[in-house]
Amino acid sequence: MYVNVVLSFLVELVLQSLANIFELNNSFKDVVILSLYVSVIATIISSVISIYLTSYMAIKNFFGKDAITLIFNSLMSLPPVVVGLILYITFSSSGVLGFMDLLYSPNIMIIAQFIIVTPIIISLSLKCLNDRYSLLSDYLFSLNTSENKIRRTLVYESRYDLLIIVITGMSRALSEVGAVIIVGGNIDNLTRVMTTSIVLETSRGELSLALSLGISLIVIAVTMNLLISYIKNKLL
Amino acid sequence: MNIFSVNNLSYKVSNKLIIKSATFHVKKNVISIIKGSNGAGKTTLLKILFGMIKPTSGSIQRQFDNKTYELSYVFQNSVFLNRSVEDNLNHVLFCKNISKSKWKNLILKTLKEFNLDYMLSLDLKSLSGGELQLLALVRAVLIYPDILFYDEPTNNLDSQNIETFVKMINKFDSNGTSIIIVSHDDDLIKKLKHDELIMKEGVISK
Repeated sequence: MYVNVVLSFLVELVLQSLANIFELNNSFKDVVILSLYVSVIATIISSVISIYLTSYMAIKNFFGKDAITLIFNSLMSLPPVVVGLILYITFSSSGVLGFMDLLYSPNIMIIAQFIIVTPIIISLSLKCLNDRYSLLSDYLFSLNTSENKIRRTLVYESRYDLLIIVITGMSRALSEVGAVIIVGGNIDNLTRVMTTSIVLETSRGELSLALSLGISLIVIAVTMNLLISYIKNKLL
Repeated sequence: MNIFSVNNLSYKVSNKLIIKSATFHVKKNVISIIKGSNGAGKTTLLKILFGMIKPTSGSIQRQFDNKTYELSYVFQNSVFLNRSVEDNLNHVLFCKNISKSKWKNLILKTLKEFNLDYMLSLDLKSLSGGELQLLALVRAVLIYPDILFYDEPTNNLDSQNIETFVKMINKFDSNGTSIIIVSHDDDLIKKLKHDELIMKEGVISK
């Protein structure tokens, strides 16, 4: 009897969640679009800067290189809530950068995700480009060509691995909740993204809405993982 | 005329002396072969002459007549980019700032010269070890270098490919390219008209 009640509750919940997804009402759509917008922009900015920096680091030996690598490796496990807290203190009205008036806007959420994702992309890209350079260094040296062309070759040769790293970074950004809820404030129609919305709807008891957002998030994550598998199998 | 005058050159790694006080000259426009058994230090010497490794002591005078010399190096185990045969060759021309409009003709001309143009339609992964070795040589001579460094050329080559290799080397020798080869293959050495340097346990002799 109890099992039947639980099962009918779960079935109803899932059906209602799927109905929400297929209904695609404006508020649901806005949340998904904002989530993708914030994560994609943060990942693109982070990827461009990280790959540019690591292509330089991979071919150069300089004082402190090991220390910088160690720092970025450690920052991979940076707690998002701490990032959110530091940004909140920095950008709040009495903070150092309070005059920029960025708190509770999508831009500060992009900054937060950029800070969380960048150490991941830098650490993984550096490892990937270091490995590739150790394989190609003699050949590239023998060409007696410019440093810029060596870096371009290195990045181009690692393009599929780097794409996988970028997708990994984006998955991290999309699933992040701690920092964006602090700096974004989870404001409806302004800074509400999928993860913060799930937190809110769950606390309100709107489980079907929370689940529909959860399912959407999983679909996006699975799609990205399928993309990674496709790249690995077909292109590498 | 000499292109390299090496004086009292030594190279040490972790207290092991790989090259011991080498003094010799490398003549311009001839084939020079550095001969010796495995582990004698030949590859290290070739890399030092190319400028890839800095010697521990001694000096190398490069007498290049104040002009920029184009150098090419073919490695014992050549590495290729994860691209097609044509794109691997394109990459060299890209790195050497050759105008893109000239790439196709230059590549075809060089490959046809040695009857290797069939490679263009093949996947890099389908080439045999010997074909890759010849492709590495083509890649190195595409830019018509003034000096060609070649490390153990006959590795992976069967008798037919060795003939192609000898033909290619003689062709570039007659064009005035100075060629420095490291080898322990006596059969190959007999086939090339050359200056010989013998290396044994880090010591070089004529």
